Amino acid sequence: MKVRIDQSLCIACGLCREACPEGAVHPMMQEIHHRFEVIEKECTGCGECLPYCPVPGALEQYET
Amino acid sequence: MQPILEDFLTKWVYPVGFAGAGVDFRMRQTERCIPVWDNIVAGALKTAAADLKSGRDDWKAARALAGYAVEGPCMSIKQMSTQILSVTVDEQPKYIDLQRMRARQIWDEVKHGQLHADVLIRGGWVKREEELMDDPRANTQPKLAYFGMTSMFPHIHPLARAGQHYFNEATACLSITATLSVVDDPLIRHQLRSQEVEEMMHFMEGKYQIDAYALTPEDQKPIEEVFDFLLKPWASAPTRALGGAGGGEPPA
Repeated sequence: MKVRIDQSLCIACGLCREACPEGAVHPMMQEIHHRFEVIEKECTGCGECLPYCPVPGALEQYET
Repeated sequence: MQPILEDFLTKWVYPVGFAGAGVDFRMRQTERCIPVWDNIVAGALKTAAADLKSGRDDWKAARALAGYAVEGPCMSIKQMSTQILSVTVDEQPKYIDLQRMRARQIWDEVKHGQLHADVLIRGGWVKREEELMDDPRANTQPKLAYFGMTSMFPHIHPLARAGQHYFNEATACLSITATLSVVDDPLIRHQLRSQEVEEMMHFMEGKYQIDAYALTPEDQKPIEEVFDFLLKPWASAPTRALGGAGGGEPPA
C-alpha cells in the first residue's frame, strides 16, 4: 500500500506532511504554489496521514 | 549601479498608483536605501559565485539553516504575532488592510520555513525537520536582526513595519534575483523560486502602506525611525540564506 495526493482536490495545508512518521511528504520541487507530493519510495503506506486530511478524497491509499 | 537593482527600481519602486505625501516620503527614504541595496546585490552575486567555486555542497545547507532561522516556525510566529498585535482592537477598522496583508504573510513565512527544511532533508543533511529544533544554526541569528523580538518591540507602532517591509523585503527580492542569476542548482531553485514572488508581494505591501498611510509627519516618524535603524551598517546585512554573512555556519 502507498498513499498519493490528488492535486485537483488538495488545498496544500500541509497537515499530511506534519503527520507522516516517515517524512515522505515534501513540498514539490521548484513549485511556486506550495503544493505537496508523496515520495513513493519513502511512503510505507501506513495511512497515518489519512485522518488528518481535511478534504475528503485528497489523500488516497492505493495498492502497489 | 547594479543592473539587477536598476531593473528593480524601474519596474517596482518608481511606478506609483497615486500621488501624495506618502509617495514623496517613500521616495526620500528610497534615496537613502539605494546605496545599501546596491552593495547588497554586489554581495549576493559575490557570495553566490564563491559558493559555486567552493566545489562542495555544504553551502547549500548553510543557506537553508540560516533561512530556517529567519523564516522557520519559531521566528515566523514571533515576528508575525508581533506585527498582528501592533494594531490594537480599536484601530482594527483603520488598519484592516494591513492586518490582512500580515495574515497572508504568516502563511508565506511558514511555507518558506518548510522549503528551507526540505532542502536540508532532500540534500541528506537531516532526516526530519524536528532535528532542526536542536540546531542553533537553524534557530539563531548572529546579528541584532530586525526580525528579532528585541528589535521589534521598540517599533511597535502599527505603521513601523511598513519600513521593514519596504527595506528588508526589497533586500530579499534583490538577493534572490542575484543568487538565481548565478546559481542554477535544483535545491537552491527549490528554496528560492516561490520566495522570489512572495518577497516581492511583501515589498509591495510595504510600498502600499507607506504610500497610503504615511501622509503626515506624525505618521511618517515611526517609519523613518525604522529606516534609521535598518540603514545602520550592522543592521542591514542580509542573512546567509540570501548571500549575506549572517547565520548558517557552525557556532564559534
